[in-house]
Amino acid sequence: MTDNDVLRAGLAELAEDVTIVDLRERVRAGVRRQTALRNAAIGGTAAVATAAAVVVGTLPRSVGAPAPNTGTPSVGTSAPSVATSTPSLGTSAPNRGGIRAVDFRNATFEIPPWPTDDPLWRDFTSFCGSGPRQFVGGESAQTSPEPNYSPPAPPGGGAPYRIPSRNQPIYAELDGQPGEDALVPISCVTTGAFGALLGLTIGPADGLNTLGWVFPPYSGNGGYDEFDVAVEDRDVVVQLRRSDEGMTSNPRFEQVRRYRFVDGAFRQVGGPTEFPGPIGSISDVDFRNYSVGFYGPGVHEGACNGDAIVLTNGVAEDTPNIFGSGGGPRPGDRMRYELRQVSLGKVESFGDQSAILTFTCTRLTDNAVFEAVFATALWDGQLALLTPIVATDLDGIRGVVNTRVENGSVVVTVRTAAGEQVWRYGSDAMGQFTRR
Amino acid sequence: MVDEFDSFVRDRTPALLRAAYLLTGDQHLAEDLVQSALVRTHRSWRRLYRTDNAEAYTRRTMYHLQVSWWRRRPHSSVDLDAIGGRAAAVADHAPATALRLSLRAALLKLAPRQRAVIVLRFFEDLTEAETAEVLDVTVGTVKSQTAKALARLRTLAPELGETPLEGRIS
Repeated sequence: MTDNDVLRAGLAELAEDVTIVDLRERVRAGVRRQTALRNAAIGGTAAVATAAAVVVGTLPRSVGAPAPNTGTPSVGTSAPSVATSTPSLGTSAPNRGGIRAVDFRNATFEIPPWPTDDPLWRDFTSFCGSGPRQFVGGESAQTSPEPNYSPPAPPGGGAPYRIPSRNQPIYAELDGQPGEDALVPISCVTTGAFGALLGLTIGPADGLNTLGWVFPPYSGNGGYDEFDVAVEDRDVVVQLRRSDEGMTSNPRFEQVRRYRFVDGAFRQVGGPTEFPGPIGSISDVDFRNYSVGFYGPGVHEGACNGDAIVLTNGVAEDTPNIFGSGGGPRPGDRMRYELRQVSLGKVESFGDQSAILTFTCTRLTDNAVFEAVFATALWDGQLALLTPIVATDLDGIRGVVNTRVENGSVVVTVRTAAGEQVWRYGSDAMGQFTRR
Repeated sequence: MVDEFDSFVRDRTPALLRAAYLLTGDQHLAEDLVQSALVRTHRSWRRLYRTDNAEAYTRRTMYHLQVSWWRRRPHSSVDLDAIGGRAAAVADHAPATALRLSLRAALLKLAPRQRAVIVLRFFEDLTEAETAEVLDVTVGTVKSQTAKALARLRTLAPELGETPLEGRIS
């Protein structure tokens, strides 16, 4: 009997400890109460608007599988010039702009050693070996059996590497030397898939020389979960995102870092070097210079939504890849996000350390303005995903004047067709806000 | 249609409660979780019933709710230290009970998604792909979360791997 069989049997035994009860009357009562609350909150209209809110959002990009972006980094700096992103499929051939497209998915090149400075990730990446690897159809061969979750891995590793066709290489000048260079998103396929970004030079006759990892596949303090890449004047600008540690895997925090090939290796030349550690008190969070992921149950049903953003002095611009059903950003729309107000306090059934965030979202393509109030709370040193409280167009309101936390509830002054009104919202046991 | 929903609640409650108990470690929280998932199922019952998707939707909703719920409720709702303490206290007299408590306490110390992955993979016997679909994550995430969860379980409850099950859990 294996450990996993023991676990299976143990879980089955443990599950029998529960007492089976008839929940029909409780469910009926819940349905009645739900209907009454919805009717009270939104005047009996659009009752299906949040029906699927608990099944959260859109699918994230796969964890560890990088998705290079031809868009621009969203924060802080003026929009950089972005290197050409060229499909990798097909054989080596002259390509637009005089850059040759190399079929990295069917090529041989050197994989550098993976960093070993983080014990947690070392355990999981020890099977990712180094040395020359031949890729056929986007994947290199596995050279030894996977150690089945029991590090250490065999010397030299043996995991296959993968270059997914959807993750296109970025051609750009990286090393300052004559010749063409490229960034290739690549994954080590072991227990999980560990994404990294490899820099290469394209030599004569398409010989590939490895420059190195642009940044460590996983850095300390938990690492990142996905990234977008652009190149600006030889600087590799990387948007690193950390995902929610709950079930959704949706991005909830983003950073922008810059790397440059100097003295034979990629070195960080800008941006933070690690993710922030656990938050001690919500009052310590400088929300106006923090990152927010517009993810959470129901967030994308409002119009003020988007992707993960990094706020600088309370403002961010982004071209989201995520589009909700609430009429906000559409494909290709540039959005401006302004954090107008932060109210802190204890919200009953939601969190002793809660933050109420009021955003104004402007769709820059047509200057359409949407406003929304979200709640988050501090749990185990992390901020919970956003939960919507009110939003323009969602609950028949025209705008948000201000918010405050009072006696365990959230008090929102809204603009409606009938003028300004003060509405009080409370959280139910499931963390959903309803008007009281 | 109402009768069908009522029958669905009656028929599916036992299985949902067992999984919910593993997810929450508490009878009352398990009941609340199942009730909430079923109430949400009712919102879309007409469509779900017509497309025969009610069970999958309810289960998916329950697992999603468990995480968002857990993140917003004080962990003291289930007193982990008390469970661990009880496990130690009864260890000499009732090893089977002690081990069950130990497993329960260890499960509750996992991150919500890890716990969900463990329950889906090893209690509900779902494949990695099926688990990924329920949780809206990639298969890679399921793999890595499973690995991390198993490693942590072995740390938290090393006795699970020491002797054959039959001798430990009655």
